[in-house]
Amino acid sequence: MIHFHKHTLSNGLRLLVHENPHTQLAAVNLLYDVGARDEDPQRTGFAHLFEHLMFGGSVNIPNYDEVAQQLGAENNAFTNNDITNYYLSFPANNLETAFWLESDRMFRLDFSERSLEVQRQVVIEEFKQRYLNQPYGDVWLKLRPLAYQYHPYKWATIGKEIRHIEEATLADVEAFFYKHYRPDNCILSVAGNVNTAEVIRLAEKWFGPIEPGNRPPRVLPVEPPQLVARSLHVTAPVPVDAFYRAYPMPGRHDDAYPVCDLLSDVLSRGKSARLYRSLVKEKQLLTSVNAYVTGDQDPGLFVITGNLVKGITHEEVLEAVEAELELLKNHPIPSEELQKLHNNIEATMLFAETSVLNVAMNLGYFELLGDAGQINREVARYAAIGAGEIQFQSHALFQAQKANTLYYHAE
Amino acid sequence: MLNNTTDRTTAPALQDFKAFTIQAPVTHQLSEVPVFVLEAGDQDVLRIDLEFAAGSWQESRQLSASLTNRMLQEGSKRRNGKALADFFDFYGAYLQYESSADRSGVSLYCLSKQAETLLPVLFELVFEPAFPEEELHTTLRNLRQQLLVEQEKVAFLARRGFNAALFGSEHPYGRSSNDAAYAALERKHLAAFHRDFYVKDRLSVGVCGKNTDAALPLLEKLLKNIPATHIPWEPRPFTALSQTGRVHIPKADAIQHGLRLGKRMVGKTHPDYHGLKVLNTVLGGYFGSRLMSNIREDKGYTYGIGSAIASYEHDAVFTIATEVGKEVSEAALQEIHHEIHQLRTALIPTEELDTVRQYLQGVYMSSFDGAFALADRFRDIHHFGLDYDYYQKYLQTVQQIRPEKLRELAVAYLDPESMVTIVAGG
Repeated sequence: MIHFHKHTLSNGLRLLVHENPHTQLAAVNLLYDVGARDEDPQRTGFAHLFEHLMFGGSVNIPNYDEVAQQLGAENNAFTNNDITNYYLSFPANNLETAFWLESDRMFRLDFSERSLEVQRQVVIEEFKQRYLNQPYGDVWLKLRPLAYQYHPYKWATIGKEIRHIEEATLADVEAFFYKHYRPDNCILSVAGNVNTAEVIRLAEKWFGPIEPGNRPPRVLPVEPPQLVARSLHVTAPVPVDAFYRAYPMPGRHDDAYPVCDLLSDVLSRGKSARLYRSLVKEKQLLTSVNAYVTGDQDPGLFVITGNLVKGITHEEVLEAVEAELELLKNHPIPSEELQKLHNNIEATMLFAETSVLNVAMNLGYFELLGDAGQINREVARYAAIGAGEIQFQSHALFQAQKANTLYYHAE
Repeated sequence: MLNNTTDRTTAPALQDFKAFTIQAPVTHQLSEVPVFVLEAGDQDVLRIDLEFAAGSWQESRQLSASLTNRMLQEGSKRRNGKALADFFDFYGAYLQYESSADRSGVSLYCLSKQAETLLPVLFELVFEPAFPEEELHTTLRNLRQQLLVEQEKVAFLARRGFNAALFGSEHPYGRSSNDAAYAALERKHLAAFHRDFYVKDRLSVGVCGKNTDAALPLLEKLLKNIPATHIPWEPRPFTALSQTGRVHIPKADAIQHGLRLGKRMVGKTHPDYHGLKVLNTVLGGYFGSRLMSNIREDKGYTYGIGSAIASYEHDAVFTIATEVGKEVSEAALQEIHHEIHQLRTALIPTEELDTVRQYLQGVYMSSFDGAFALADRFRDIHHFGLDYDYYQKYLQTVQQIRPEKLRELAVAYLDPESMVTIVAGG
């Protein structure tokens, strides 16, 4: 059970506080409700590039990193399709410095041509290191446009192409900041050895004076139901064949989301999971296999992927994968297996509570989804899912005409 | 209207580092095995570590230490791999297998209430493995295929080349997975390694988390039955290569180079080690380090660059590592040399050093946060014959070391002529 307190500032900033006297640390997490899906299709990769620029200094703090280091903080940030999330954890007695630091860059970022120029270059190297210079590194550059035709999930967070990053201008940066990096578009969560009243005082003092942005509601193209299967064959300098299959699935707000999440556990969580047992161990078709949900807020993807044993064909593999999916459709999962899934959720949630940084992040994310209090109801929500729902959902998900398959063929 | 009177131009005063007492484990001797118990944390979870002095340092056949460890999960004398996986997964428990040059072990993460159910099967998995032929065959084939994927990565090629250059490819710290060694490995090698090294007198046990007490009586009972060494092991002497100069590792159509520079270094038990940790932080050990500031934040040559000192039980290594666009790889090497030269010739400004002191103190505090971290920090000293005094000295060094001393260390230990440079790719 995570006890927390919620407080909303008059400028719309939402604050969540969790006290934990057993640690010496405090964690501060700022979740901005902006991600790659909010980008201009001609300026993809911008939300992530902007995340880099957030470390380029603000109007009263020319060097963000230096202050973070003086705070003794371990800090970083990440961007995905939905959100941009910044976090620090540090000795709790310097809480106010963290508020000064984070509020100053929300107050006014120091827009500098020099910082933009360098970070453009850093992001281009990141693009090369993670997406181009690794075997299968470009999978999401190829799979997204295959699975989505309209919704902005069709491009990867890093951007569709390097050119978009090269073309970003300082005017773009400033407009993006005033549109998205405003208090009413942010959730601040603080967890650790802190006092709730003091945290509220600090939030009012440092974030209270920042003007809200009143961003208009998000209107994004909706992906129509997929009616025909799609596939893409890529011949690449990779050492072994691999496949990535993505089925469209409901978004985070949908009641079917946790059912899909459990389905991915049935298929590939741990060494006892079905795909691993069947395809890697028994049939020996794959050297590794994975199934997971992308976890997006808008309708996302249910992904199944594996590396083929040399000499095995893609046809053999997909036939075996589909046979496993048919089993899910035709037979309710046994009660012991269902119990395993529920036990796993309970353990995962409890282990996540052992870190105040995790707690701060999770509180912020559940608040974004609608209610931070959901953090304490997730285990029960998953425990209520029965075999019938899982079977029903597998019918909805695994339809031949909804499959998007990317095939890597070794050169 | 919003009140806009907050003065943002003055930083809130930084508070002094708040000293704290490190919680040490309670040591029990259960059935002649040392058991280190850390009762901490407020979630009902436990981690139980079974750790053996049984790394690649002990193996006479390459890769037998890591494969022995990995194959434990593939079946015991009473349960096959599927039954073992079903059992642990059912309880939401998680097993972590670790095999390094010095040690191998298995850690069980579980809900405290399930420890007594899980422990007997954990012991069965660790002490009564079956090493089924067919599973070994599958595992080796999969590992050989994964190796092909790894070999496509310049960072992997650079790391492998680096370890081989410092120690030689026969040395336990210089070896790395290679196809020929996988191909030559047989069941009997694993069975022999297990028989000789997964023994009582090489074992230490850690129990950390909440409700540790409940697990101890059963642990004592289980530890009674495990075998001791039947033949004494003769450690073999190894000589490290300490190659210097430059090594080029080709890789067609790489668009970035994997760079690694470094040398063998003094380890944890050496009096200069703490000072070198501080020096390394200045150079490449944190986000604001000189290498990051120069090569990423000023030049934009890379997504990341860092340096580190890693202490093994018999040796230690200093490493600078990065991946950079191939067209700027020479320029990046030049800047790395420039930063090393600066440390050897100029004093670190007080302000920069103060930032590093603050940063390291914060990281120090974080590194003791929670039951699992406390157990890890204990292991970090225990296996080196050190006690908690080590951390006191480290903290003192962080707080007090002078710029003059750091320059002295840079002169003594960071001579570029003593280092090897690996360039992988292109």
